[in-house]
Amino acid sequence: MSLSFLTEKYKLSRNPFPPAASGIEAEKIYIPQRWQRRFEKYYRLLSTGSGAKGFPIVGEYGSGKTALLKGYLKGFFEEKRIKTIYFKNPGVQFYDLANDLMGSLGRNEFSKALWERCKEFLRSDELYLFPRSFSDFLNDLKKRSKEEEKRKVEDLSNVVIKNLKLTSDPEIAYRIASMIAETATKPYFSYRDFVAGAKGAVVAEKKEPEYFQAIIRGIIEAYDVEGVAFLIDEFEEIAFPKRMTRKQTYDYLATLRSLIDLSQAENLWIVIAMTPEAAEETRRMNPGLWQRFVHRDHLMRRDRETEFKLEPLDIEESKHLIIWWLDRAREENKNKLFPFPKDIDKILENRPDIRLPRPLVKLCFFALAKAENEQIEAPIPIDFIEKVVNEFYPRSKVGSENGRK
Amino acid sequence: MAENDSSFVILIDTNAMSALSIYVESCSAVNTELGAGIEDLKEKFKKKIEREEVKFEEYLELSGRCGAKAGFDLFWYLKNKNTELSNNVKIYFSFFSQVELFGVFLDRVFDHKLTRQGVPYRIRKKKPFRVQIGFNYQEEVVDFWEEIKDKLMEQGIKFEVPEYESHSEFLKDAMQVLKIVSKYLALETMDLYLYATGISLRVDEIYTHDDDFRKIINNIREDPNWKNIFNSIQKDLIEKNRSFYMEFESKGKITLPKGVPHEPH
Repeated sequence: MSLSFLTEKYKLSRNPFPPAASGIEAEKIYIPQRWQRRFEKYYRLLSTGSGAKGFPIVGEYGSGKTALLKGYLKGFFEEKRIKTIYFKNPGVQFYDLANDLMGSLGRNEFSKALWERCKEFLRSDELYLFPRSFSDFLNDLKKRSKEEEKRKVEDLSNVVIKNLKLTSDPEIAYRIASMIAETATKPYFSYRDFVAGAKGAVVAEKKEPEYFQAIIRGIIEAYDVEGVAFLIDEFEEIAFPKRMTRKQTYDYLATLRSLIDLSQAENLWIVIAMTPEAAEETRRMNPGLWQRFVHRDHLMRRDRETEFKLEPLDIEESKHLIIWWLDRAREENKNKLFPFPKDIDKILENRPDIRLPRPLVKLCFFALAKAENEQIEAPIPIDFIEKVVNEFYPRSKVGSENGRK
Repeated sequence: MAENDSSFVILIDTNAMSALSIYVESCSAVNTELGAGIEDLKEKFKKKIEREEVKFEEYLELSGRCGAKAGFDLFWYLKNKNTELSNNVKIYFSFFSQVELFGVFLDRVFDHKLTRQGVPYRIRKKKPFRVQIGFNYQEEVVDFWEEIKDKLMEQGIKFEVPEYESHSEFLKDAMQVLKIVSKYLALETMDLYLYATGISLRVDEIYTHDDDFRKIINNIREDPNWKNIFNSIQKDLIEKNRSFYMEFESKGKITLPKGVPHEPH
């Protein structure tokens, strides 16, 4: 069998660069050590301090924020036994976030996991030959009278308070217990599960933050983790202040504040990817809140600030990034720029705008694909690469990926 | 964000929308583009009557305080706002106002039919025949409203229904505001609902032809004698709703809606 041009000439099993137009969907991505050190520093600083456990990642559209959240920070937190939950453009209201959260966990899965934690503390009236499963528990509940069912829910809520210590509020505990017990009749979450005041709502009026706090503790218990990290990929509208109404503006601020408050009280981490415009708008709307989020104190100690700005990689970091991706598709000749030319610096030096992970990865994909298509001998000549760069990233196009600016 | 940068939000009251619908209908009746002046419309109606294309009783009210003239004013108010603010305007019309408006449309249908049958106004206004008159609700009310909305949309005027937004979150917020407002203001039921809706949506203006309602809205905003009511409403809003709390924290006060138009018709 004859080898493909890519394998024969470029020594690659495939084109390793993801072509994705909207966010790299890779499990793991390359990020420079400089960035890794900063994240470690933020983590050290914030996990020991008493302030909010969170920070913004600020970068233009197409600079690689999504990839950073999904391909690096997810693993970063999970290595520290912190469960990550990724939110893609949630709405500005607190409910929207809660709804997305519970939707991503799934009612049955979350209730089952919580019940598993509760069951060792539950008193049992009967003896069972085999250990009981969650579905046995739910089926059993169906057969019980209303009175018996109520007693079972009360037992569960006592465990929620005394043993799991999710809350000290009996009403909230009862509602969490009901959420578990009612999974048999309603195996999904709906907005009534979070919205206070509406008829049939699970959450008591004015108790949404406390309820949410108990849910966060519940996630920590149920999944046996040290904490929870919310990786929020932009509150999309914030970058377009003119499209927002006053209500949306203040709903957004209220949500951000609730999250920051919660992150101070619980081991909840909040990382929000946003554009520079969105960051600036948030700062303008409520400077105090922004200062809490980026940990800017009255002494303006820059070394303690936690605003992560996605700035261009330096030349060496850019080359490392290219090599890192190339190595995903080869067994031999690792750690080399080949089939790209060694003098690729000449292009990178003059174009800081393409020295961000996402544009660089995209360019490499297209350069390699085009070179393969045109059967260009390796190493691919620098003027060929330059042509591709100018084609895909003419200087005026910078910052307007996906037609957004 | 600076408050001036946000979308400008207007809530339209039923009476104002009814006037706007009369204006749109008048323009359609004489095949004239929306935007035409009232004198122009009158002239065209006159010619139609002379040519016996329309009967006198079908001549729509053109100059009454809630007639086509008021609708013409609202049409240009919204048009100019759109131009002035580069279309950064959001116009709300409540679902319940729409229900009320459909009632107005039905009245017009009945009135029209009874007039043709020679029933005098004295009897008509008692509405004794409503259950005995055949009517096509879909065609005469629902489709009629859709046509009006389509014509206005062609002019860049688009209405949004707050009750349809964001699941039922809007209603939850509006009910919370309604409970607060009703503690301090004895408004008519529909006015209370609209005012609470306006506050909850943070509308900049409530456009209404109800002079009393508009006066109350503006007194709460501006009149020092009403300051205690404003303060009480503001205090409760801040206490019960985090979003209002953030507004107060950012701006130092809650901005309540303004009643427009300025001059009574």
